[in-house]
This record gives sequence, C-alpha cells and structure tokens, in this order.
Amino acid sequence: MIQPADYDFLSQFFEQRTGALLGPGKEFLLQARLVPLAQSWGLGSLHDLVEELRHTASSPLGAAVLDLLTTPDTQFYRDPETFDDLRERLLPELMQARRATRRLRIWSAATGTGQEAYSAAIMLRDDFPDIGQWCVELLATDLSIPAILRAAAGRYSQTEVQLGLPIRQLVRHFHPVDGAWQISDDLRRMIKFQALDLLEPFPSIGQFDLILCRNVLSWFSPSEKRSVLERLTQSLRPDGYLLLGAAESAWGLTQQWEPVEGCRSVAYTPTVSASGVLRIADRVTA
Amino acid sequence: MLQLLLVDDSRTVRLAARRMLTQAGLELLEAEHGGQALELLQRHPAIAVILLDWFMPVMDGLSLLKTIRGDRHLPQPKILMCTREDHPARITEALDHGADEYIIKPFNEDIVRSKLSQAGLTQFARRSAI
Repeated sequence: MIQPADYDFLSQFFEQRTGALLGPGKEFLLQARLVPLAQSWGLGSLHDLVEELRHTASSPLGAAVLDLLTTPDTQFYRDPETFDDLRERLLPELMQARRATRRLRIWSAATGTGQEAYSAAIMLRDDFPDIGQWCVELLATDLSIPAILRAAAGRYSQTEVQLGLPIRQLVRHFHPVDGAWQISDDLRRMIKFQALDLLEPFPSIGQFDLILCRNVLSWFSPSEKRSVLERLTQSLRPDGYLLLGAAESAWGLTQQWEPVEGCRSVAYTPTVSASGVLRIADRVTA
Repeated sequence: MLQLLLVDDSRTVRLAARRMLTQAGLELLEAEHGGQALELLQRHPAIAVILLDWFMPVMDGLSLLKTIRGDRHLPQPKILMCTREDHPARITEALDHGADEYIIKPFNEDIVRSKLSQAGLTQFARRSAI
C-alpha cells in the first residue's frame, strides 16, 4: 500500500496542479490508477513513480499522473435512481414546461469519458418517443481533455458497456468493432463535447434546463464547492434542475439551492431568492 | 440467501465465478450442462437466478433457455446468459427466447452485480462511493 509520505506528495502535487483536493482515504484509488502507469513507464513501484515525480513534476509523467487522477471512475447509468427520477418525473416536468418551444438544453458537467451524457441521450431516445420532434442540445464537458476525446469517439470496451448498460440498449445503440463497442453516429451527433474547468469562469454556454454535476464536487474544498454551486445557478434556468452525485449535497454550502422533495436522487432547484421566479411546483400549486 | 444456479461446462469458469458470486452474497448450485441444470432446477424451485453458458455438451444454453421459458410449469428464475458469444444477432436471439440479461465473457464481480441489478435484483447494485 502507498506510503504516507508518497500519499502526501501526490495530494500536494494534485492540489497544486488542479486546485482540487485529493483528501484522505484515496489510497486504493491511487494504487489502482497509478501502479499500472508506473509499470508502463518501467518504474518498479508506485514509490518509484513518486520519486520520479519529485524530480520531474512538469514532465510527461506528471501530465500522465494528472490525467489518470482527473479522469473519473464512471459508468453508464451510474446511480440508477438518478435516471429513474429523470425518466419518471424531472424530464416529463421539464418537457411539459417547454412544450411551447420544444427546446431542451442539458449539461453533463463532469462527463468523464462520456457515459453519463450517452446514458441521457439513450434514455431520451428510448423512453421519450416524441423526442425526435424536439430540439435537444446536450453539452458534455470535463476537465480532462483525453477523457473528452474518448467520450467524443464513443467507443467503449466490453467491460465498460457491461457496467450499467442494459443489454437491449447495447445491441440497439452500439455495434461491435475490433473487440470494443461503438455507439451509433446518431447518438454521438446528439452531444457536443468540450473541455471545461468548473473551477474557472464558465465560457458562454448559456442556460440549461438540466445540469448533471455528479461525483465531482467532492474533489473540491468547501469554498470551491460553494463557488461552483453559485456559478451553476447562473447556468440553470430558474425552473431547471441540478443533479449531484448520490453521496453529495449542497446542504450548508449555499442558500441558492434547495432540494427537490420526493426525489430518490440528489436533485436541487434554484431557490426563489436566487432566481426571483417561482419554480414549476410552486406555479402548479399557486 | 438468494440461490443462483451456475451452468458452465468449464470447471475453471465455475471456480472463478463461485468466488465472485459467494462474495456477492449468493448461495450457489452448479451444473456442467443444461440437462443437469434442468434436474437441479426441478429439485430446487427456489433458485432465483441462472447464470447460463451457451455452448455446452448434452444440452446447450439456448436449448435450456427455450425449455424453461417454454414450460410455464417449470420455475421461472431470472436467466442471465454468460458466454463468449458477442454477436448482436445471437444476443438478440437469446433475449427473444426469454433471457433477462446477458453477460459477455470475461466478466468480473462488478459486471455480475450490474447485470443482476439490471435483471431486477437491485439489491446487488453497487452504490456510488466518493
């Protein structure tokens, strides 16, 4: 297992380069991700990799380490209750609210290698038969450029497509290529992929009806979480929804979000004070 | 404890799978081919899941699948094909004959848990951890 001094070094290295906190308890993550890298570089161990980094932190090795640590561990339909809530309640509500324009904008804000964005696209295609009559813009972003490039390519290993993805959707939306599985061009074209750092001011990406920002805030310090959450209010329409990871919460960080009652997933809407506009539920009951 | 019937003619596969599946909290029964599996299923109607290889001697996986799904007097567990066969047409064929899910070998514990969950046994799903 990783030595404490090596863990401390990697934590500092990670924070200096990304602004994000590694935090305690990530020994298994570091071992799992960096031992194969060490071996591929001909380094005997994780300790040897750290020693190499101490001397050449700005090297390609440093970039490779950062890339492995910033590429999130993700899968199709991660935390299925999120997609159940989207399918059964949140998307129907949004589509009802947008029925006049038939336009929907969705942002997968930490998409990693794209499985979250493709899960949303597949769900829209399979569970909302009228979606072809809608203009749906799906933006998928991530800090990691290699991850975004992989996501845009839409090709996944046999293991990746078996984690979370029902077999019927695999055969419906993918085809086998050279031992891997390639998503259909039709679904790939639904999504715009770009690199984006949530800790930096957002570029002009407009406002969304739905933002998925899952399993990334946990990497940040409390002040950084607060900053990201407050900027996300500007990127979400007043009656839109923000979804966080299953183990995450905005509680205690900002007054600008309040939880959506009755959801199994971690869903928020902007508070009235942040948006100045009543939410969908309030409009219905008012 | 949920009972799972593992049907595979490879002892190596059964051994590897046994480790994974008992770790996942399942009680295992094993068969080397479809004929044995059918006998076991009739003797143990509480079997909740069958993990079913395709290509086996005596009675292959597709034949067993068709037999079970074709006779409603037999117990009707969840059936997950577990095979190297990865051609979409064959996958669809298995699904059309009543397979609930489909695992393409090689597999690991995470894949088995995911597939059990997708087949409706959601207690096996892994939750996100940060």
